[in-house]
Amino acid sequence: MAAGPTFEPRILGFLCNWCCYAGADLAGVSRFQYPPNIRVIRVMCSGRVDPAHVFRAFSTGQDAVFIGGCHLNDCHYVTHGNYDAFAMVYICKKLLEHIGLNPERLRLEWVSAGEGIRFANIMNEFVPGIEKLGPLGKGEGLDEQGLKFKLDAVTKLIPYIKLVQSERLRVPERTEEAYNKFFTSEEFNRLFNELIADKLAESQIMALLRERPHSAGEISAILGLSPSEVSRHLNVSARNQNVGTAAVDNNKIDLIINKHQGKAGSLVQVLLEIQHENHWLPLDVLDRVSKKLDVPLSRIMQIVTFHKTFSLIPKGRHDVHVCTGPSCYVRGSTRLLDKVQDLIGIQPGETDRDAKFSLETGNCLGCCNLGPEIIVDEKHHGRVKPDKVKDVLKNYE
Amino acid sequence: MNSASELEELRKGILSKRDPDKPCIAICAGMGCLGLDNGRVISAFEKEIDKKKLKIKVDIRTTGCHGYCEKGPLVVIYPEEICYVEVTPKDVPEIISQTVLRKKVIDRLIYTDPDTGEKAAHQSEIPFYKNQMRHLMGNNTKIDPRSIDDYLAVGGYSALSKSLLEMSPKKVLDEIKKAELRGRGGGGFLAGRKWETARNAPGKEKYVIVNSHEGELGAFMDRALFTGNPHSVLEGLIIGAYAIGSHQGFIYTRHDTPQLKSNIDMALAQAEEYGLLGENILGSGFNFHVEVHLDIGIFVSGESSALMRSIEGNAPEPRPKYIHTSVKGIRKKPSVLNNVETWANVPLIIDKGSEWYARTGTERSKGTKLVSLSGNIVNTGVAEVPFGTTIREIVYGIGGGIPNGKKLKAVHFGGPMGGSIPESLLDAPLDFDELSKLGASIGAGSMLVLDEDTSMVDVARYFLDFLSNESCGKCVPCREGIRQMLRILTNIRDGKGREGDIELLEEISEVTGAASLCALGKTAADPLLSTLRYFKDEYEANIEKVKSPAEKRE
Amino acid sequence: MIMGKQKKTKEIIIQIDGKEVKVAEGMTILEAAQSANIFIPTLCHHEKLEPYGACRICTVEVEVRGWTSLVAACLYPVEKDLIVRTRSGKVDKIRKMILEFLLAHAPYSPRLQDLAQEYGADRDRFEKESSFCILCGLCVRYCAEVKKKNAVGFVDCGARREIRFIPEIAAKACVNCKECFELCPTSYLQAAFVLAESLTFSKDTPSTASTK
Repeated sequence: MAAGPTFEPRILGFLCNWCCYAGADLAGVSRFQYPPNIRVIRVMCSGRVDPAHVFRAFSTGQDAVFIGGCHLNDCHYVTHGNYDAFAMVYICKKLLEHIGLNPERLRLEWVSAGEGIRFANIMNEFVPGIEKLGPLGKGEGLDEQGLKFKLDAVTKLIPYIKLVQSERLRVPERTEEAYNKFFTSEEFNRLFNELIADKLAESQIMALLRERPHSAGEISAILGLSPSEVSRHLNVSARNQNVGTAAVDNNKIDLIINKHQGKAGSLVQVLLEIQHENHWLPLDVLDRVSKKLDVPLSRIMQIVTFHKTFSLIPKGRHDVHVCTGPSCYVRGSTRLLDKVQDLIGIQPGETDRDAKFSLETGNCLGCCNLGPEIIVDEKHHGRVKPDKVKDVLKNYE
Repeated sequence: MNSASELEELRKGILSKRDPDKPCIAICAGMGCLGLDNGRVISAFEKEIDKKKLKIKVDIRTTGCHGYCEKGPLVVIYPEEICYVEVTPKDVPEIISQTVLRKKVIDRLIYTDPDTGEKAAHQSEIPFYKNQMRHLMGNNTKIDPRSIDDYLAVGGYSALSKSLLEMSPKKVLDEIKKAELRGRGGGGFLAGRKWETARNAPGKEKYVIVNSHEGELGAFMDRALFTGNPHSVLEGLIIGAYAIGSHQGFIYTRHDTPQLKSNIDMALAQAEEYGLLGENILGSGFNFHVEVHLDIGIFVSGESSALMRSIEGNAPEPRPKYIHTSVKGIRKKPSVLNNVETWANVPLIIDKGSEWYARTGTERSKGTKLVSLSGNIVNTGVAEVPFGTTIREIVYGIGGGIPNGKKLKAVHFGGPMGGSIPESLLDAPLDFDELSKLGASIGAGSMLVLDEDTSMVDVARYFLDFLSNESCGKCVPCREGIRQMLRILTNIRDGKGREGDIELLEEISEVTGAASLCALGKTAADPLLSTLRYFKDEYEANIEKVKSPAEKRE
Repeated sequence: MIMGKQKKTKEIIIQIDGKEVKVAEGMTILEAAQSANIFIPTLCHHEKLEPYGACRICTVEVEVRGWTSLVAACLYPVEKDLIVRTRSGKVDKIRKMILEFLLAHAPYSPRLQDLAQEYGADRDRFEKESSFCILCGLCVRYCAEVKKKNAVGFVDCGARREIRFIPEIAAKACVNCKECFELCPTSYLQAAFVLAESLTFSKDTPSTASTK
């Protein structure tokens, strides 16, 4: 979606004092023409540029960010800060991609002090390129609010991302090939997804929930995540804040606690009973139990997250349980599970978008003569063939 | 009740009110039959009896598990002991009119041998039952678990009375030691020795615990026994407590079987009402109380130290048992933990004597063992056999062999902490030590039968996958070792195995086995090692990226 | 191993690596070794905390009454005539592999790297894992036992086990404390704290949001 001819990109540049800034200066002195859209900030080393700077630039209306440093292995500091910039840009680009912005908006170039013409050439290529991309956000089809929301989510995570990068995403050698190899590898992709992308999704979900209540379906639509992913993230987020209506009567809770004589030792029994009654455990209920039984909340959290018996998010109206005990397994429970997953659209441990079904797999209930079986709301459907799964599930509203 | 004579009076009273010739319809209400909709069969019987106004003349009894789960719903008609299988509500009127009233056997409802076509109307003729020795389970067809009177009618609690009133605690302990009762939960540890350690441990407060967690995959015999005959276990528990000197018992059971919990609660209430539990039991001066605790569902909470932590109200994390739990258990007090089946053997030993008991079984494994048959086998269910029975006899004689004409490949014992016995070793006897030598510890008694289509690599991977979710994650060798082994095995299963994978697996399993904190970690690699021992060719085939003949998994 | 009510504990003699050491009954092997200046590596041990026995790197070989076994030195109580070997073929193998497991998580942790050199552990033996927490539990136990705030705890189990800060407590308690940060052998604790801070501490109390 190209912007109209009146779009003038705003570009912020971080140029390192020793090389790139001098090169830009040379370009100016030598009268090499290049578009005036770039606003330059001089830093002592490209390695000084922080992801926070980059995203602040984007958050305050810049359409692109340019970082210029010394050529690799020519850094004026023994710490080779330009390699740090190299890594940082890789990660920022991935983050931009993740929130739906074109990673081309962030560019890293090595320009030495004598390469004035090179600098001009780069600018002559970069600026029209950004013009074509259009204004930040609008160019990618994001509205102003959506853009701000996503940029906020990333900005909040930056301190965490920096720690992760320094500890976990280090490259063993300071060479260009090693860096390129690492950041384009499967391993990096996987680490990024598990350590950063997931947290980004959680951050966005929690921000949405802070604004106002959202259903799982709404979250899925707004963030472009599948219902299965939404459910998975909700499960994790629930450990930190309430993600559902806490409609549990305090009196009921107190009754259950008193039934077990309010002893700290009956913690597990109390939690089991509340789970059984309410089908899930809102955080303020856990708070109350913690205070009444005088046990630390961390201990309660350990117990309720220890096994899937407890749920910290509201479950669907119907519990679908596919037995994956060994007897059912050798009789074909995997194919059954695949079919169920296809039909409902979620993985075990998750709830579907309309909160109709919650899927769980699990351990042997001892009815091995019925294998492979599906148990819905405690009713056994034994000896089920994959093509009959639809019939089993269709009767549930 | 305050004395042995009162107990006998009560028993006589119950028996006198029961006419042994009165027709009684015993309907199995075990888990397996529950899943096959026996609820409708039961109500059909009740309706029909009502309709025909036979309420006074005919008894209906919903009993515990009969054992032959494959053929449920099961009904046994007394006094002829005619066994009907796969009963539906539609059959009910005919059963009442023909069998109950006219004593005629309905051919289509009795057991038919799938190979010979022979019919068998009585348990003593049905191959599944006749090859068993049902000391523990035999009474299930006669007992409604919700009625203590039924248990008394078959002689229940006489062992308790004998122990409390005629024997000293030391004498009881000696009997158990002489009987060489070994734990049935998987450890196989001599119960008598464990009791003795607790008895001699310092401290006045001691605990006894029934481990009814039954986390082992494919095992459902503890549930069948406990749901069907809770008093037998309770009686054993009280006798054990007396021998050890404990006055507080715990029953640790599953949270996902409401039927089991309600039967236990009812049994406890009824026993207390009759003075068989609580203060001054049978006037002996011995006090004993029982608390019921539910688990949170995780496999590791079946481990004794984790279980005790769970009872204390913490997350079930095991601890290293350099100091045994029988010396320092719940709240650092001596605690004896035994399996449901172990406790159920106790009244038997006291009643009939350790000499009688020790006559069954092999030299080092005495008595009978409950096994649950599952997997690719014709007759799934719970069977009880004396130790020493060969596996072949169990699989073919009782289990009925492999369905769909397939060949047997292996029998897996002990779930995720056990091992597999290949077809060639099927004549091994059921025995703690013999099976251990073959690399397949008997575990709690689950027998998973695998046919020729099963991939053993897949089975090993399956068990590791299970453990990776059920391990508590506290210690590095178990958590990380299982994680890495699982990854390698998944690659091998998917045909992406690499040279050196098998050696790496063996190395990891050595470390995990030696350095893990608890038994879960230590035996986590056992299924893998046993399949490597007997089925190495399947692994190698997958590593060379050639599909092995048994790759297909349904 | 009877911890009687007497203040005086018996003194016994055990053997560690061929050396005779006089120890008090009730000590653990680790304490005994430390008293004799014999080094046994540890990761999850701290003198202010109850021994935990999770990292298993302190595994040593013991021989008593003719039986040899491998036990965790930080927990195993000493007894008369105990023979301890802090290094052996088996012990070294175990330690090497434990380090390799942990290096797959935190390859750049200085504490791990030092030990890795000693035991020849290969950092790249196993595929890299994303989480760089080694679950030594020092932070959780310190907060529970020393600071008694329980601001951070374990959640989940098995391979999914991790540490999490409890927002309500951590928002107030950690601001002026952070004593656990220096105990962490990797920097995962800081990362977890920063994450919790950015996601959950900020702004006023996050109201009970709801999903339908």
